[in-house]
Amino acid sequence: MSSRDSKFPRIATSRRDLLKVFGAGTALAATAGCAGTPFISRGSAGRVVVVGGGFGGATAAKYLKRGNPALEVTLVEPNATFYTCPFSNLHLAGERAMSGIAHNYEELKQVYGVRVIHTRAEDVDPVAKTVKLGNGNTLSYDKLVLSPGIDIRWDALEGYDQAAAEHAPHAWQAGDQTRLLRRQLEAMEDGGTFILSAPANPFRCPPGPYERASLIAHYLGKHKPRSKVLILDAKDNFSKQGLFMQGWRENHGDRIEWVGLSGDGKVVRVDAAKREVVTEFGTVHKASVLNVVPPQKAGLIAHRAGVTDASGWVPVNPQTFESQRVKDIYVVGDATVAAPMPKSGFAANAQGKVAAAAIVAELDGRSLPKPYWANTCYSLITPDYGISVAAVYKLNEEGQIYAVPGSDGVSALDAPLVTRRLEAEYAVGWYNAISQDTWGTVL
Amino acid sequence: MGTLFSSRFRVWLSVLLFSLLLTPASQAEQAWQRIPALEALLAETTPLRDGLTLDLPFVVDDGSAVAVGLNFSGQLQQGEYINTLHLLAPGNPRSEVMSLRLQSPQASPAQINTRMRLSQSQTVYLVAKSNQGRSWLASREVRVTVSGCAVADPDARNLVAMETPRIALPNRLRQGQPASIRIMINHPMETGLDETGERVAEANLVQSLTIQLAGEPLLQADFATGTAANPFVQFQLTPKESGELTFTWRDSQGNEVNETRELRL
Repeated sequence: MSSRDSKFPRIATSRRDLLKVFGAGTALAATAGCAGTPFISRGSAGRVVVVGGGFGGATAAKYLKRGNPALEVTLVEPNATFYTCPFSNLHLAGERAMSGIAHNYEELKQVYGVRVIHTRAEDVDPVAKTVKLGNGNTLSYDKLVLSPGIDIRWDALEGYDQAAAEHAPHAWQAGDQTRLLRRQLEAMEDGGTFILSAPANPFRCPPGPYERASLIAHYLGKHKPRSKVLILDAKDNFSKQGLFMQGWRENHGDRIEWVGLSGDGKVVRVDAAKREVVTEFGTVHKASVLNVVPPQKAGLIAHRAGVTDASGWVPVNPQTFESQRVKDIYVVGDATVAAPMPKSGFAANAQGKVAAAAIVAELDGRSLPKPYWANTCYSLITPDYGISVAAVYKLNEEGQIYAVPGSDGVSALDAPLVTRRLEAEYAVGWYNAISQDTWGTVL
Repeated sequence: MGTLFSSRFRVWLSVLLFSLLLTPASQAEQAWQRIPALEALLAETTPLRDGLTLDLPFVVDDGSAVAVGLNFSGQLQQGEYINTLHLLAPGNPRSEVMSLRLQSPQASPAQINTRMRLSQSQTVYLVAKSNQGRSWLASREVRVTVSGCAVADPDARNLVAMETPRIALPNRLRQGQPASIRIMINHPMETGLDETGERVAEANLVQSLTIQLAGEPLLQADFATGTAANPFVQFQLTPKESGELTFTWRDSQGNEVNETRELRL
C-alpha cells in the first residue's frame, strides 16, 4: 500500500458500505418507496456537475462519489488552490501562514475519481441541462450542484466598487484580498485606527467581523500598542455579542470600540482612497487601515442559472437543497436561504452532504433520505481564547429547517480561562477535521 | 447553446414552469378581510394594489429591527394626494407598527424607510389613503427565524427616556428637488408586553414625531409597539422655499424633545 493510500481514506466498495460512511450531517432513512424511474443518460449511473470547490462544493463532489462511485462527477473550480475564510483572520493577525488555510483537489481527483476542471462556470442552460465553461467547453448534466459562495453587491454601498476594494479591502473572499489587508496592517503606523465596517444581515459568517476585530486587536496589542480598533456596524445585535464584549474587555481592554446602528454605526458612503467612511447621520471616520465588509448576494452563476429570488439569494427545498425555482439544480452553502442555519463553512459542508445524498438516492430511484444538519461556529478572541455557538437542525412538519430545542447554545458567559483555552484548541481541531473531510487536507 | 437571449428566455420559461408546478393558487388577495385592524382601516372601500409597494426582506434573522421600505408611485387624480400610510403587523402581539400623516405636498409618499419589529413569521400590510377617500393595500410575507424579543431589546442600553436625537439633511438642497431626510432618536420603545401580548410592565414608547417647515405641518409619525427601538424615519422632502425645520418627539412618559435645523435652498 502506497503512502497516499494511508493518507487518504479508502473508498468503500459497495453501496451498502457507502451508506454507512455518509457521516455526520446526513442521516439516510431506509424507508420503502420509489420515486419513479429517473431519466439517466446512457453509459453511466448519472452525470453530476458541481460548480465551486469550497466547503459546499468539494464536500458534495466527494460524497457523491462515496454515495455511488459509478456516478460521473465533474467539479468546476477556477483556482487550483482554495483558501478558506475560516482561519483567515489568524493570517491577518500574523498567527498563521496562507499555506495553513490552503487546500487543493488532489484527494478528489486521485482517490475519488472526480474530474476537476480549473475554469469558471459562465452560464447554465437549465432546459438543455448544460453548463458553459470559461474555457469554451460545455458540460451536460443530469444533476447540477452549485456552491458559488457569495459575490459582493458592488452597487449597494456608495463609493465601494472593485477599484475601492484595492484600497479598502473586504477580505471576505480569502486569497489576494486577505494578503492585501495583512500587508496594510503590517505597514500601519503605531497609534493608527483600524476600522471595520460590518453589514446588516444576512451575510457570510455572522461572527466573522467580530473575530476579525478581536484578532487584529491582538496583533496590534503585541506590535502596535497605541493603535485602536473601531467597528462601525449596521446592526444593533450581532452573533455571540455578550461573549465577544466580555472577551474584548478581558483581553483587549478598551482597544476595541463597537458602534451599532442606534449609535450611528451604519456606514452609507466610502471614500476608499482617503480611507474615510461616512455614517447614516453624517459622521466622518478616518482610518489608517479600512476594512469594508460589504453587503453580499449569491455568487454570479446562481443568478445566471435563474435560481436566485428578489433577495439575491437562493431559495431551496430544505429536504434536498434543490432549487425551488429550477429543477435538477441543487444549491448549497452561503448562496442559499437556509436560515436559521448560518452562512458558515460548516453549514455548507453539511448541506453538501444532504444534496449529495438526495442526488444519489434520486438517480438510483430510491426514496429521499431524511436530512439533518449540524453546525458549530468557533470564534477566536485571541489565539488562546475561544468561544462558540452550535446547533443541530432538522425539518419541521412544514418542511422548514429549525434548530432542535436543547441542541443549540453558546459558550457560557463568565467561564474560566481554562474553558476559553480549551475552546481555542477545539477550534483548531474543528478546522483540521473539516479540512480533512472536505478536501482531504492533512494539516 | 442558442444565443444569449434565447438562453435567458429558456431560463425564464423553465423557472415559470417549475413555479407553476410548485405554487398553489394563492388566497392572499382576500386574506386581509379577515384581519380586524385592516378591515377597520379599509372600511367599505376596495383597496387598489397598483403603485403601492412594501419592501421587506423575505427572511429575517433578527426581528428586533427590520428595515422596511414604503413606496407609493401610483396614479392619482386631479387634486388627489396621499395623506396617510398605515403599517401593520397582525402577527405581532399588537398589530400597530406606525402611521404616517403626510401634511404637505412637500412630503412625498415615495421612498419612505423605517425599522419595525417582527415577533414571528407573518404577512405585513401597508395601507395608503388619499384625500379623496381612495385606498391602496400592499402586503408582504416575511419569514422570521429568530424572534425579536417582545418585551425589550437587549440593545436598549437601559435607556428610560429619549436621548441623542439625530437628523441628517443633504449638504445641498434645491427648490423642487426631492431630498432624503433621516431622523432617529435613541429610545427603548418598551412595549410592556410578553410574547403572548399580555401586559407585564408599563409601556414606555415614543408616541409621535412631528415635523414642521416654516411653521406649517409637514409630516407626523405615530409610533406604536411594532416600531423598533430607536425610532427611525427616512423620507423625501421636496422643498418650495427656505425655512426652519422643527422636529418634536413626545413619549408616553410625558417627555418632549425638540430640535431645529435651518433649511437653506
